[in-house]
Amino acid sequence: MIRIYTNQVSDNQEVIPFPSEVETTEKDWWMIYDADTKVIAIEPLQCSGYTSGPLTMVISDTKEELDQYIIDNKLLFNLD
Amino acid sequence: MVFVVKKDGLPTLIKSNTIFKIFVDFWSNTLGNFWNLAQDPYGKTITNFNVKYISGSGQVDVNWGEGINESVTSGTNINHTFGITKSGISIFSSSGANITDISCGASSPKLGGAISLSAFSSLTGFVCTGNGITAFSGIESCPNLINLELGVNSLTKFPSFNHTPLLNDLKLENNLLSGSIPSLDNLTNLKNLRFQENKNITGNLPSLSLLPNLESFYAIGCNLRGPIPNLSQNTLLKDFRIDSQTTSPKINGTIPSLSGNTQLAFFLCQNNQLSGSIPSLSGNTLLRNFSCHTNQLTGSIPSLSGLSNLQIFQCQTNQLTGFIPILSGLIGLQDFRCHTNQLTGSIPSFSGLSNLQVFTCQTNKLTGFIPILSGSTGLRTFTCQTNQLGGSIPILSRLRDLQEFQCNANQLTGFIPSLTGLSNLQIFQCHTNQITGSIPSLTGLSNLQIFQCQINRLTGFIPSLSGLIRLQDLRCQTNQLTGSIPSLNGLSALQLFRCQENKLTGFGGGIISRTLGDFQAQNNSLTASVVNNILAAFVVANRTTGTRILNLGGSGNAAPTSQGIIDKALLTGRGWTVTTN
Repeated sequence: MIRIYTNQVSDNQEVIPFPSEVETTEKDWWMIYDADTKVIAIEPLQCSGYTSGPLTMVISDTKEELDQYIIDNKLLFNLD
Repeated sequence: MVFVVKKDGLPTLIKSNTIFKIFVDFWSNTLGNFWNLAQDPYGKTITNFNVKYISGSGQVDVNWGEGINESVTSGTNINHTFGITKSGISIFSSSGANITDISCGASSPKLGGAISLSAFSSLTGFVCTGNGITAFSGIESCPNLINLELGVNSLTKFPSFNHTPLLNDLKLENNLLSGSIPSLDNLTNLKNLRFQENKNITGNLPSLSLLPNLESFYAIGCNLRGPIPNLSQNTLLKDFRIDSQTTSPKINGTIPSLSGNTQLAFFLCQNNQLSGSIPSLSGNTLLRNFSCHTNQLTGSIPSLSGLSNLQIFQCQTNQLTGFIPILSGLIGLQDFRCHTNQLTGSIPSFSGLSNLQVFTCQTNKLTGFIPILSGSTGLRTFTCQTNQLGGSIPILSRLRDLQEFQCNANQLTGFIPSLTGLSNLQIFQCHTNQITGSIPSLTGLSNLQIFQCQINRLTGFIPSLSGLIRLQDLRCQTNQLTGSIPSLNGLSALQLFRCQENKLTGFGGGIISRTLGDFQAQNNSLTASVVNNILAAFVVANRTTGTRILNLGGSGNAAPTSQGIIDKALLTGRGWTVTTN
């Protein structure tokens, strides 16, 4: 299941102004992207902690779900 | 309309095409207003204006169209800056000297206007390069013309070549020519044919079969299509250059046999839709540059043995299979690129390649080892990433000119060799291998911009980064590194630093550059005070624009405390995305 935290208003997503101390566990897969530019700021990773920031955070149970989310939403990898 | 007659009886100014025609006819071969300037030339300069003529006693004058006649000595360069505004340039002779050559040099700013050679029937050479000329006529009156150079102008139409059978050199590069290349069949004496950088030239490449004396053909930067013509009759051909500028249509078909072109030194056919195989080059012993990259070529790379003059061979971005040929003995080889194909086998020996500067073979299916590179002391670029290479990275310490070394995404083992003394090194990537040992000293690599050794089995410390003033990107994540994150003090170009998924425990401190916007150190063993110190350092750096990613979370790292918690909130308020435990 994908959980989405974003600062953008959307009808079909759970919305909060900023991800504020959003907790992830070691088992969670998550990523961060800029909803305006569609550029991925943090590529899918497993990392526990508490995340705060202005960008869109997507959390999933599996990397495959995040990969599909990237495809569905036409997100862009930063080619650095 | 203005018509001025000077005291010597010679008209000097014409502002009407009708008058101009009468004017030329009246004075026959003794006078030629050959250049009608399009605009006021005031302040413009033409350099190296040169007229050659045959005359026992005659004098040739140039009239710059402003009441000034300037006597010219045959074959001597003169310069002129236009003062009084007039509209044309004339050349005339008081004794009927035969003008054989006119060379207009280059003008700055460009003079523009139209050229007519109709008054110069004895002309054998006309050079008017770099002047912005928009029209050219009268060539049919110059049956003796041997050399015609009108490059770097603004011509839109091809002149007719039906009455100039003696042409040796025809150079029309960098114009605005459009349409198809006219028939060249009448130009049986042609040696050098240059149309390059005329993006509106369309149609098929012309037949060259009736040009037995052709030595060079340049059509790069045009919009040509169709097959490469048969070159078997062009036995004197030395230099052949074509490409395609648009996505479609492009030059297609196959590369013709070059077996009869024994004088060939340059053959460039890159960026087309050529298919088939690369022909045998065994007879082209004078070949210096062969470039067929970015096509759809299949088959294998032909033998290059015996091509002792070869300096550049580029066949990258095709669909080539088979092996990279033996390169030993190609003592002049400077640049060999075969990357992005489907090549198998191993990288050949570099033995004897003492002049090699660039070698790229990445994105193939190569196996075996990276060869010894030490003999190629002038090597600047070596890229072999994304293959299936094994073994270790060879010794690099003698390659003092090395700027770029990439061997990532292979199956390499062993150590990263010493990089000491490689002061020109800009890019070093060995990530995604199975490399062990420690990261070597980076001291003295003042030009290093990118260093990526992530996803290996590296142990030991991250070396000092002091003095790496151009370092932009350092990645060493997913290894088994211990010790501290080194001081980032003075790294004024650093944008990205990733060391996550190691066993790092400390932080060397120092002032972090405001350029650093991506710092990932999650999944290490950072203590609370270290996490606090890193957060504090980023607060001091005060970056408020661009990428702002800071990850200190993950298993193993401690959570921030007291001031660290406040600093995290401060950074978040400045647009940072911060993760901590």
